[in-house]
Amino acid sequence: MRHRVLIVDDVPAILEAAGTYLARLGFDVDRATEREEAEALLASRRYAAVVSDLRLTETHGAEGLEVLAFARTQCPSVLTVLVTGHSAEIARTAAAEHGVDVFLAKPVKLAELGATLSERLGSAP
Amino acid sequence: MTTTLLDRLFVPGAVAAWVQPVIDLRAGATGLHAIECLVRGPADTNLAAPDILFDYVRRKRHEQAVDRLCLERVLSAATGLRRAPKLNLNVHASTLERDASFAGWLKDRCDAVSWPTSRVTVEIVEHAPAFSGPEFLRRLDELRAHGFGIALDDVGLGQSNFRMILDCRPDYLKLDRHFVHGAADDAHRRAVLGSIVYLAHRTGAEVVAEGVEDPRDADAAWAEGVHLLQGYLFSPPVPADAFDGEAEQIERRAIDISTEVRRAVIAPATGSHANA
Repeated sequence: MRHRVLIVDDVPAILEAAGTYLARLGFDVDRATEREEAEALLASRRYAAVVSDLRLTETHGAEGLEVLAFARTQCPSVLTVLVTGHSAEIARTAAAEHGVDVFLAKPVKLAELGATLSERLGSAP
Repeated sequence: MTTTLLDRLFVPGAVAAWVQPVIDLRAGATGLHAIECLVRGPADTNLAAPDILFDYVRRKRHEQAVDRLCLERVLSAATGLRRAPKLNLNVHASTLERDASFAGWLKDRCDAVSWPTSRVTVEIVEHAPAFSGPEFLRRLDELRAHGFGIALDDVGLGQSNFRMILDCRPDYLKLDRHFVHGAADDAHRRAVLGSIVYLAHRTGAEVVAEGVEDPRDADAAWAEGVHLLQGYLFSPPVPADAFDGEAEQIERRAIDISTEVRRAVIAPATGSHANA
C-alpha cells in the first residue's frame, strides 16, 4: 500500500520539489501552502505522515506546529515532521512540547526527507 | 503581499458552477424535481474538491463572502438550465446569521436572472448552535416572505438535528448519504429512513435521500416512503453548462429506475432488501 503524505510549506517551489521527489519514491503526495488548507485536507483524508514548515506566513511564527498538532487530533498515529530554519534548540524544544516525531533543520536535503519517511513509516512504499 | 487561495477564489471565472439533479420517483411525476447547484474551486488547487473548498472557507471564516460569490456564479449559470423545475442553492447557517441583507440580496439576484423565487429552495448547510439565534430565524422568515423554500441539508449528522428541524420548519429534509448508502442490507438504516419520513409527514415536509448509488438502496428508500432521490445512480454532478444536454437522458434513466423500483417494492419477495 502506498503511503499518503501531506507536505505543507508556504514556498511553492519547495512544495513542488519535495512533492515531485517523494512521488518518485512512491508516496502519494498532497501539498498545501496554508494552515487552513492543510487542516481541511487533514479533516477529509487520512495521512501516514505530515511534513510541515514551522512558519507558514510572514506574520505568524509557528503555524506549522498548529498543523502538526491538528494532524495528531485527526489521527493519533500520524508521523509528524517539522522543518525549520530557526535555532535548532528552540525548534526542538517547541517540537518536543507539541509531540512532533521528527525534526529536520533547513535546508532539508530531499534524500534525507525521503529516507526519514521510508524508515519511519515501516517500509519503503 | 502573498496571494492566498482565498484571493484566487475571487478571480473572475475561478469558481465553476456544477449541478446534480434531484429525482422524483412517483408515478406521474417521474423525472426531475429540482437541480442542486454546486460549485468547484480552481481545478489546479485542492479547492477543486468541494468538501475541501468549504472546509477551507469555514476555517478562514469567510462563509459570507464566498456564499455570495458562489450564488452569483450558479445563478449566472441558471439561465442555461432551462429544464430545471427548481433550483436548490446552498447557504451556510452562519451566513444567514451574520448577513443581515442576505434575503433581499438573493431575491434581487434571482430577479436579475428572471428566476422566480417560488422555484428556489435554500439549502441550509453546516449549521452550528451559535448560528441558530434570532438573526438566523429572522433571515429564514425573510426568505420565506420572498417566496423561497427551505431545506435542511445533511439531516441526521452534526447539528442538523431535531432542534434544527423545529427551528427551521423546513420544506425538505435532505437525509445524509450515511443513512442511505447500504440501507438495502441494513434494517437499522431503513428504520432511520422510515422515522424521518414519518417526521416529515407530520411536519408537512418532504424527504430527499442523498447519495443514492445502488438501485437496491433506491428500492429500500422507496419502500420506506422516500420519493425524492439524489445520487450517482441517476447522475453525478455535472458542469452546469452541460446539464441541459444531458437532462433528457437523466429523465429517461429516472423513468427506467422508478419502474424497476416500484416493481421491486410491489413484489417484495423478489426485492433484494426484503430479507435483510
